[in-house]
Amino acid sequence: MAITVLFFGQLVEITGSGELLICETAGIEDLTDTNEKQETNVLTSAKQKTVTNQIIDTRQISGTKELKELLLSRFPRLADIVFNIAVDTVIIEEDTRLKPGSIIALLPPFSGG
Amino acid sequence: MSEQMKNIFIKGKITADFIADSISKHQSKTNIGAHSIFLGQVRADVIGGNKVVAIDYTTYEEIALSKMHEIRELIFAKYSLTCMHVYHSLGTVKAGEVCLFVFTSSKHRKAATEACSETVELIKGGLPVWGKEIFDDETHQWKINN
Repeated sequence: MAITVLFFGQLVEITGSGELLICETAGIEDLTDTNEKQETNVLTSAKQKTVTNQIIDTRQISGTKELKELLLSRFPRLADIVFNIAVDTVIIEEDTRLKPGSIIALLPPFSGG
Repeated sequence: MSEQMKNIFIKGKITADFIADSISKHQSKTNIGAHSIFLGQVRADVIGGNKVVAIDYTTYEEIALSKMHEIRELIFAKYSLTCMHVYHSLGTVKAGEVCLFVFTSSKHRKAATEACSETVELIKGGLPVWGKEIFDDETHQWKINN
């Protein structure tokens, strides 16, 4: 299962990216296969991209609570900011089941106007 | 409400010409007796010796536009309005420039003024928009709405 996580506002500074793909372990082999076919310099940049924009985790992330735990362990400074979570553009209050392809957004306090 | 979801976002500042055009477009609607306009302007606050020179706005557009649609429906259900227009800037807006334009019109003044005021509050609290205050020394901080 692969899910996409979007970060907004000050959260982008903590994670270093506005978008993160989370895959299960199975995804690693696919990536390695692709990388091996590339030249060395391409391989390096592909690896860097993987590090920046992708988390490959052995756990199965089935809900938002588990996802939040994974993100907090990866980016501890997220704990300093209050944020809401939206699943497929709906802001949720409770642990919500995630489907393959779900888009999850982390929304810090709004400051428009 | 059958009205389509409108895009409220404008890249950069909202110009005085844009606002003037918007006002003049209402001259043909002679059932209107009152307009109320709110303009949000970027303030050059001084924080810790640094002056805010601009605010850089970003949004999560998918949620913002559906939320704005909800706000519009709520306001139209509550007040007897003829029309309502909302524009919010994205990207960089310098101090002194306008970043939010809310324009309500009605037959009598009370509906227009109250609807305008409530819409501004709902936008400030409910739209997923984030403002990054840029200081004159190129540092920044994230805006906090009161």
